[in-house]
Amino acid sequence: MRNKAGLLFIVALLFLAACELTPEQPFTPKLVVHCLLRAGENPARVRVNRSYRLGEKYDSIFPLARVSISSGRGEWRLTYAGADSYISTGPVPVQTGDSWLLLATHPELDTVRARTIIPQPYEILFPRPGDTVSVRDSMVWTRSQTAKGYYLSLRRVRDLDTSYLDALIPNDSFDITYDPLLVRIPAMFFLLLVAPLPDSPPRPCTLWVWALDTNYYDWVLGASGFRGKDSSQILRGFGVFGSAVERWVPVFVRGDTTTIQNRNGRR
Amino acid sequence: MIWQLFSLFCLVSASSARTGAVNGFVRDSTSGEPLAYANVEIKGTGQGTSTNLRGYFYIGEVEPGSYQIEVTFIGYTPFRQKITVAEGRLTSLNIELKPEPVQLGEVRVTAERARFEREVEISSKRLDTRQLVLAPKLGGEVDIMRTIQLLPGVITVSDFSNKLYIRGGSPDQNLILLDGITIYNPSHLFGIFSPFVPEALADVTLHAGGFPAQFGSRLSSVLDVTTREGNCKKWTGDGSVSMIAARAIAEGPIPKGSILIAARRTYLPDVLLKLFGVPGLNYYFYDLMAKANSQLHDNYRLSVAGLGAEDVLSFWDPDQPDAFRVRMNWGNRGVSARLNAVFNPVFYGEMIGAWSNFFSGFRVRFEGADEILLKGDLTNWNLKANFTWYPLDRHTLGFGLDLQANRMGLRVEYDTTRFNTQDTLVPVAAYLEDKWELIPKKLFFRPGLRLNHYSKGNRFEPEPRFGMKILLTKNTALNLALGRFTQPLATLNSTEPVFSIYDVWVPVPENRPLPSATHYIAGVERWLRDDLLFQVEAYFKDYNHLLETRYGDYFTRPESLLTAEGFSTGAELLVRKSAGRINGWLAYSYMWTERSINGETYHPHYDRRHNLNLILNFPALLLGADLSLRWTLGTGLPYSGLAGYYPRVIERPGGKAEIQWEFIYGRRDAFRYPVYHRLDAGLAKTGKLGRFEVGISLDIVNLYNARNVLVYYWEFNPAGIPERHQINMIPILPTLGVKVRF
Repeated sequence: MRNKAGLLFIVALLFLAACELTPEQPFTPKLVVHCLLRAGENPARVRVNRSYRLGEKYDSIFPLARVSISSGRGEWRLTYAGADSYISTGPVPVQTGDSWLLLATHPELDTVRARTIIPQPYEILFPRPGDTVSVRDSMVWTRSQTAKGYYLSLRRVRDLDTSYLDALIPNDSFDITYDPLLVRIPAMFFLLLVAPLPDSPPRPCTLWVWALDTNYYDWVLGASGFRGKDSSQILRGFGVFGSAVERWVPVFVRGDTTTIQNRNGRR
Repeated sequence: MIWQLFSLFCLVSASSARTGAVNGFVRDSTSGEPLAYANVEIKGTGQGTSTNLRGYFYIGEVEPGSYQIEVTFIGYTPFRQKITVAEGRLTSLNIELKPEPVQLGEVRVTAERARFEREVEISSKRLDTRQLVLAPKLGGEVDIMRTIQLLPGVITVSDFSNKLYIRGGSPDQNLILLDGITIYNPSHLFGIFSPFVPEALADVTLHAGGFPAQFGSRLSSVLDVTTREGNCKKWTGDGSVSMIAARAIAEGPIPKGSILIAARRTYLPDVLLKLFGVPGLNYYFYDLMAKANSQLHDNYRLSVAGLGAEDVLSFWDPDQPDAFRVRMNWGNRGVSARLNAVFNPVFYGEMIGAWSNFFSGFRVRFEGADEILLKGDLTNWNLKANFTWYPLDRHTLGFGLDLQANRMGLRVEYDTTRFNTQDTLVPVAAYLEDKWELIPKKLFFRPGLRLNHYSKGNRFEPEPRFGMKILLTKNTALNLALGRFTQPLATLNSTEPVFSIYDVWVPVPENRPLPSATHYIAGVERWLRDDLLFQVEAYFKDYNHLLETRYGDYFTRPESLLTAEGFSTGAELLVRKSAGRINGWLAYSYMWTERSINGETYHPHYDRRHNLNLILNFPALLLGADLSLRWTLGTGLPYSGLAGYYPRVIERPGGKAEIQWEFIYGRRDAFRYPVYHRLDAGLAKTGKLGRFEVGISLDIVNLYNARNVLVYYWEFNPAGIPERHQINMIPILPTLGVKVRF
C-alpha cells in the first residue's frame, strides 16, 4: 500500500514539476516596404507600412516615414502621397545593370536598407504583336542573362471583368533543350482559359512578361507558399525591394479544335 | 575445409567440459508455428533458457543424469518430459505445446518473465498478436503503430499520424523491419494506418534505445516485426469487415512447410467521396502480405516473405474522362528470403536476403499533350548473416554481417524536360556481441561492437555498445546500457505539417558530418507477481550533427539542410499486468527534448513533456464479451505560432497590385497546444455459428468527445483583426466490425 502511495506521489510530482505555459513572445514592430523598380523612365513608388502584433488592427495610413532611393546616377527623395505611398516627384532613370539602394526611416522604428540590381534586357520573339495564336503555339523570348526568373501574366478583359493567369518561370532549367540564349515555352496551355470556341472569332489578349531580379522573384514565389516564412528580402524589416524589365505583346487567341472536341466528349 | 574446421572447433569447445547438452525447437501443436521466447527449464539444475524468435533453444554444460525438462508459455499447457543427458552427447527435442484458453485469475509465467531472467534486453518491449488485436481500433482497424504508441517513451503528434517519435527522436531515426525487409514509409491514408495486417503478425519488438549491435544505421530505435509462419497442420481462414476495410487471411500446409497470405483493401474513403459528391475523385489503399516456409532438412528451414502495399489517389472529370486525368500512387513492396540453420547444436545462424522498394508516382495527362510524370523511388538491397554461437555455458556470442545498397531516384518528364537523378549509398557493417553470464543468474554483461562503413564520404564509423543486467533479487534487476549510433540517411521533408504523404530520403551529403547519437540508459525492473511487472527507466540521448529541415519549409534541399545539436532525456514508468480478470498496463513518460541550430535553442514539435497511457482489458466481462479501454493524457506539444502580421503587396505584370496578409511566425516551436486527452473503448464478442467462429466488435474512439487541437489557423475578422481558429482531432467515432474464422 505504501509502495502504491509513493508511486502515485512520484507521478503527481512529475506532472506538476513542469507545467508548460507558452512564454510571452517578444514582438517589435518593424518597417514594411514594397518597391518594384521597372527599367525605363518611370516615377518610382514605394509603399511603406509596419508590422502589427496579433490582435492589433491594420492601419493603411502611414505618413511619418522618410524614403529615398539612390544609384550611381543620383539620389531621389520620395514624398508622401497618401495612404502608405511614397512617390518620386518625377521620372527616375532606371537602367538595366544598375545597382539601386533603398533607405526608409521612421522615428519609432528601425531603419531599413535594401539593394537591387536591375536585370539585363530581353525581347519577346514570338508571338509578334497582332499575331493570332493557339494553345499549341510556342512562346519564345531572348534570355535575360541576370534575371532570376520570369513572371508571365495573361490578361483578358471581357465586358467589365478583367481576369489574369500568372506563371513563374525560373531562368535555369532542367530542360534537355536548354538554350543559353532563348527561353521557349513549348505550348501556351495557359491560353486555354481565354480561348474562344472554335467557330468564334479570335479574342484579343495581352501577354505580359517581367524578367525579375532575385529579390522579387523570391518574393512572388514566397507568396505562392513555396518558401513561406523567409521570403522577405529586407534586413531589420519586412517586404521587398526588387526590380523588373517589362515586355508585353498584344495577340489574338483562336479556339483549338481538339480541345473543343474533348469538351463535348467526342473524339 | 575452413567451415569443417570451424564446426569441429565448435563441437570441441561445446563438449570440452565433460557434460552434455540439450537443444531443440518449441512449436504450437495446432499450427506448427514456432513459439518465440518460451521458457525452457531443466528442473533441479537451475539451468534454463528461452527460445529465440524461431523457437530454437540450446542449454549447454548439463551434468550427465536424468532430469525433467519443463517448457512453459502463456496460453499453452505446460510441457514436461523426462530426459537423460549423457556425457559428451546432445539431447535433441522437438516440443509441441498445446494451446489452452487462459483461465481467468490464473497466473502463468509469461515469455516476458522468462526473458527477464535470462536476457540482457534493455528498453525492449514486445507485443504479441494477442496484445495487438486487443487494443481499441480506429474505424474498426487495429494498427500496430497505434498500439506501439501506447508504450512508454513513444508518442505520435496527432490522431491522424502514425509516425512514431521515440524518446525524443524523429520518425526517420527509427529502423522498421518486416521479416528483414526495411520499410521506409510505413503509412497509409496520409499517415493514419500502417501497411501491416495485424492478424498476420507473430511478434512485434520495439527496441526503444540502446539496441543490440545486430542493428544499426538509425539513431533512435528499431521496430522489428515478424510475420506468422502460417498453419502447417491444416488450412484455416479468417475474414473480417470493418467500416474502413475488408481483410482476409488464409494459411495452411504445403509440402514440408506452411504458407500464409493476408490481404486488406479499403472502401470507405471511396464511398465517402461519392456520398459527399466529389465525382471523379477516388482513393483506396491495399496491403498484401505473404509468407511461405519449408523445412528443407531437420536443421534447415527456409522462409520467403513478401509485402505489397499501395495508396492510389486519382482524379478526373467524369464528363470528359479523356481531357484531364491525375493519378498519384505511393507504396511499399519487398521480398525477403531467410534461411535458418542449426549448423551444429552450438552454432545457430540465419542468412537473409531482402529487397525493398518504396515508390511514388504522380502523373498528369492532358488530352493531346504529353504526360507529365514525376516518379520517385528508394530501393534497398540487403544481405545479412546473423550467427549465434554458444561456445561456453555462460557465453552466447552473436556476430554477423550486414551488407546493404540503397538507391534513391527521382525522375521528371514534362515535354522536353527530362530529369533523372540517382544517388546510391552502400552501408556495410560487421558486428560482434557477447552475452556473458558472469555470475550465474546474477550478473550479465552484453558488450558489443558494430563496425560500419558508409560509401558516401567513405566513412568508417565504429559503434561500441554495452549492456549490463544485475539481478538484485530473484524478482528485481538493475539494467544499464550505453552505445553509439550513426545514421547515413536523412529526410528532406518537414514532419511539422499535419498531413504528410511520405518521407523523401537522401544519403547524408558527403561534406556534412554524419549524424550520431550516444544513448545512456539505466533502469530497474521488478516483478511484483509472476504476472505483474514494474519497470522504471531513465535515459539520456546526446545528439550530434543532426540534419534538420529549414524552419517553415515543407522540403529542404540536401545542401540547405541545417545542422542541429541537441539531446533528449527522460524517465519512464511501466506497470504491466499480463493476466487476470483485469489486465493491461499503465505507461508514464517524462520527456525533455532540445535542439540547437546556430545557437538558437528550441523544443521540437514532438517534445511532449508528460505522457500517460492507461490500457485496461476486461476479458469476458459481460455475457462473454471482452471490454478494452484506453485512456491517453499528454501535455501540449510545441508548434510554430504567430506573433504578428504585415501587408504583403504583390505587383503583377500588366495588372494592379494585390495585397495579401503575411503572418510573422514566432520562434521555432515556441508555442504549445493545450493538453491532449482521449478515451477509447472496445467491446468484442466471439461465438460459434455452425462451423464458423464469428466475432462482432464495437469500438468507440474518443468516447467523451474531447476537443483536442489538431492545428490552429488565423483569419481576419470583419474588424480587420486576425483571429485564431482551431481544427480538432478525431471526434467521437463509433465503429462496428465483423470477423469470421473457419
